[in-house]
Amino acid sequence: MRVGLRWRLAMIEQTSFLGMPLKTQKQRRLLVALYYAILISFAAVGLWLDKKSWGPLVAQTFVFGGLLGGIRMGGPVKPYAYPSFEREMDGPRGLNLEGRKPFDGSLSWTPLDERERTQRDVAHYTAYRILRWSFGLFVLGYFLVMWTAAAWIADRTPFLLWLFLLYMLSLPQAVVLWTEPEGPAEELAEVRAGAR
Amino acid sequence: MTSTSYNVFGIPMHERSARRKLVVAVYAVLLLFCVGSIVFARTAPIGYSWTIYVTMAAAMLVFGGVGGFGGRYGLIKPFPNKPPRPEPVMVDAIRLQLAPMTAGTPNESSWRNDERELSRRDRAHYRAYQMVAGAFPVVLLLAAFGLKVAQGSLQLAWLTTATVLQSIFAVALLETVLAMTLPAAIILWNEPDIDLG
Repeated sequence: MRVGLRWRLAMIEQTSFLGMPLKTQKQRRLLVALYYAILISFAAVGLWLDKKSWGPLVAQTFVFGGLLGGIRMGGPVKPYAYPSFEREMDGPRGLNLEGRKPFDGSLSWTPLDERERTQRDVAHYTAYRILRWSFGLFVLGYFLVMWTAAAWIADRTPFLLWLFLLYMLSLPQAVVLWTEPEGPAEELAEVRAGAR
Repeated sequence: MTSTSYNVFGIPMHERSARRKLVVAVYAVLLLFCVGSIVFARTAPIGYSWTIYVTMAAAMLVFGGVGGFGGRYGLIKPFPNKPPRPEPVMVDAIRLQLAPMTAGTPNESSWRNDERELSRRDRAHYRAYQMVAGAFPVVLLLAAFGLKVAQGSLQLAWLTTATVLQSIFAVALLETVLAMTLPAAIILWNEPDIDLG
């Protein structure tokens, strides 16, 4: 029974994230919508910020882009590959702190099984298709604004590119959360409850 | 192999080495166009659009996968896995009862990807996504650097605003070329030899 359930587990690693339940598709979609709503409001505020205020934001690219998981540990979507960079950066050797546990001891990494790899690849295919269209729209929008406010947009180009990078980093995870059907997350909760 | 045809310009492509040579040759041509459009950016600024057209032609007519021209051309079947648009009805042929069966939608095996091909397609897109997303920060860094140079907050004797802008343009152009062709190139590069016998 356990093996059967485990085989059907999807890439959703958590049944709640930052206090938000992620058990149903509706809840997962709400998380995606909220994430992008925050990103858009971030953009709206950021465009009027002083350029010097962008520095700390840019330093957090990996954290913001990987908030939904996938490219880093701790998000609702399982990491796509072994997060060596993250672990090495925070590990005892990286910080020269002897005896300190690498990263967070509560987070464990397991390789994706065949079904999860398939799901990851399908999500990237979908994300790639979405990205092509959104990149076209981004370039079109950029040139339209260029006609009317060239100096303003030129000043903010790095910030806009940074936002697009965040979008790019988060898109496959958003696709996974958005398209994951009902079921596996509850099964995951069952398995975890059973394991305790 | 997610392929409808094993020939490009009459050259057989069922061997992996032949396809790898093709991928290298196509990227060499695209790189030449990129370099050309950067070198002649001031005298012929329209040159970059030719690079995009050539990339589109390579992606649709040589590599395939992207589904241009109803997905009829190129080595790889269209990624969307949908049937190509029906060919125009050959009214005269049908009226004269001359092989009317050839009119309409092509044979399903010529466009439909099977399970293995879909898996290859998705894996190629996963790898391509990593590469494209990995290259994007270079554009971002150059743009931030270029802005500083343009505003005079960073002054280096050897670095002019024009040089930085050209670098941004070059990297952005290469990124566009990669984004348009990379998944198909990865498939062509990795697929093993095909036994036609």
